[in-house]
Amino acid sequence: MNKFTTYIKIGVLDALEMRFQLLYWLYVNMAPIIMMTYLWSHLYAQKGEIGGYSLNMMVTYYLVTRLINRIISTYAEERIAKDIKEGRLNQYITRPIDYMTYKFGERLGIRAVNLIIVIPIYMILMLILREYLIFNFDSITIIFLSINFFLSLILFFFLAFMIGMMAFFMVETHALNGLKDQVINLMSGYLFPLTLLPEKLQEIFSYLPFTYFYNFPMEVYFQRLTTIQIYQGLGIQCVWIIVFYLIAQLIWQQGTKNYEGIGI
Amino acid sequence: MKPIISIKNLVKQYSYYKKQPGLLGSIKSLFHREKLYVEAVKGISFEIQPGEFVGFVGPNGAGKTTTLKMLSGILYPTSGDVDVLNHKPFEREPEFQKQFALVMGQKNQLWWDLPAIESFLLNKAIYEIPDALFKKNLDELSELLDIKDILDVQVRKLSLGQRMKCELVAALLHSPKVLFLDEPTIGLDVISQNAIREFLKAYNKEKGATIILTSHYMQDIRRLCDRVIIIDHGQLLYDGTYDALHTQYSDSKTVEFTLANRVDAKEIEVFGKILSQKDRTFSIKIPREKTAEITGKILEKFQVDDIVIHERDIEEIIEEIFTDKKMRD
Repeated sequence: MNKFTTYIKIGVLDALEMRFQLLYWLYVNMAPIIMMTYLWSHLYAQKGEIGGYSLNMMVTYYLVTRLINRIISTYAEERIAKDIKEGRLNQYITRPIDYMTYKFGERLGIRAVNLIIVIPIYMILMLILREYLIFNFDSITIIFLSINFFLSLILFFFLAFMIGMMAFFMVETHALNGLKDQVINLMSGYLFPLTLLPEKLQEIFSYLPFTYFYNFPMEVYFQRLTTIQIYQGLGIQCVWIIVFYLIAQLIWQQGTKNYEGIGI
Repeated sequence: MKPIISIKNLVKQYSYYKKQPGLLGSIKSLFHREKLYVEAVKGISFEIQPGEFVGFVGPNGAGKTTTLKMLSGILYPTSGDVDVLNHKPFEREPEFQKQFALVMGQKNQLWWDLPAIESFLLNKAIYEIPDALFKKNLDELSELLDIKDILDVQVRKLSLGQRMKCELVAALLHSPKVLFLDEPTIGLDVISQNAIREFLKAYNKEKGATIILTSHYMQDIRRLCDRVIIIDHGQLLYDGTYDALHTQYSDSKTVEFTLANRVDAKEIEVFGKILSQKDRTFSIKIPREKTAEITGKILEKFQVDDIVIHERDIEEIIEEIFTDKKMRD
């Protein structure tokens, strides 16, 4: 555990060094949400409800999913691919350190700093958009959401780790990463609530890991699911974590066998 | 004594794809790629005893770094045996990794944006170094390398020499028994080079650590290594002491002299092979045992302003080994 907290600490320290990024985060987080609120309120002017979602639900959905994205994404893929491509991985595989655990800790630290800065931004946003928002401070809901976020964080990291590790086998991983992002955006409910899709498709998606990133926690937030459905969802997430972990280990083993330690 | 490092018939083959130049070549390679193999290391064997300081010498692409990578477990060998500290390096066992360190002159393991001390603390956690030992080693190493006052400075603000010293400290905090150094003095000024050499020499003597070093600077090898291993094209060319290398190959000396008058080169040639000529200054190669005789004759025959006799440089000797090898091939 001492090791792991040190990994987190090094990430925190590194993130704090990059102060200029804060301004960027400020913009990235605020501008699109305000724009989208205007867009939705226009669309809703003709209709009271779209796909079972009222205007307030829609705006809440959009804002909270952005916040969830801040919480669960690690953006580890670029760094991992770079470590491999530039031979920086050498210094990890020659030391008594588990690279995956190390990267997870480091990213957690970096993201924690990001989150601490982002939360006040969202509080301001909520204040500005308060008449469009639905608030739910039910303690059981919050507990379920916390568990969901934690599992999503791990899943998101494994996905990033797998994409990053593709650098063992190919020169450029950008395209693959873009493809992964597209798949997640479409199937997770990041762009719009999945309730807008045909029911057959929704059912298929419910067995895939992606919907649990955004659509599922929002359904939990709006209290549209039964407790059993929530347990089921969290269970499916756990199963996917195991699957992803095993695949990641396999890629790691094959990859480090292939690895040529370029550039020392 | 049981060797601390032993490799036997070690081979490493790299595979790569052949691509024709240009856009058409790139498009073709999308559908069909020709796989080619190149042997970077072709069956090298040697043993190293605990406490030895070994210099690994060879031109670029000789296979030095590939061998070092196999010794440190970065690469899987294609065939042959590697044994370091009774472990197979490529299995990357933590017990093995805690006993050695790898320092690369051209890569840094320190966190670029953070002060060096943070990287040291990270290594403390990684290697599970007890508090007391960490403090003792850090004090000792930073004292020896004179970096006490730069521990709190961001690494990227340090000079290359300071950074290299910090790299060494980071690598030695866990008291490794074996140390691999890949060109630790590359790009450093003479003063920093000397400081690092002095430190490595002392460290090897006092701690009895086994050190393998690759370098392009013959000074590093001459001043530090008792034993020299020369490789080229993935093959072992020489393995022995530095002094033996010198005597074996330097059966000749260089005489450099400046004459008072202009003399035709033909008249000088009779004494020995002319290595260089600049105006009235000649440099010739003569057999070691005839040094006195030939210099006597030169002094007798010509009016000499200045004369110097020196041993041949190790650079020259190694160059000769490499060219001899090529001619035999």
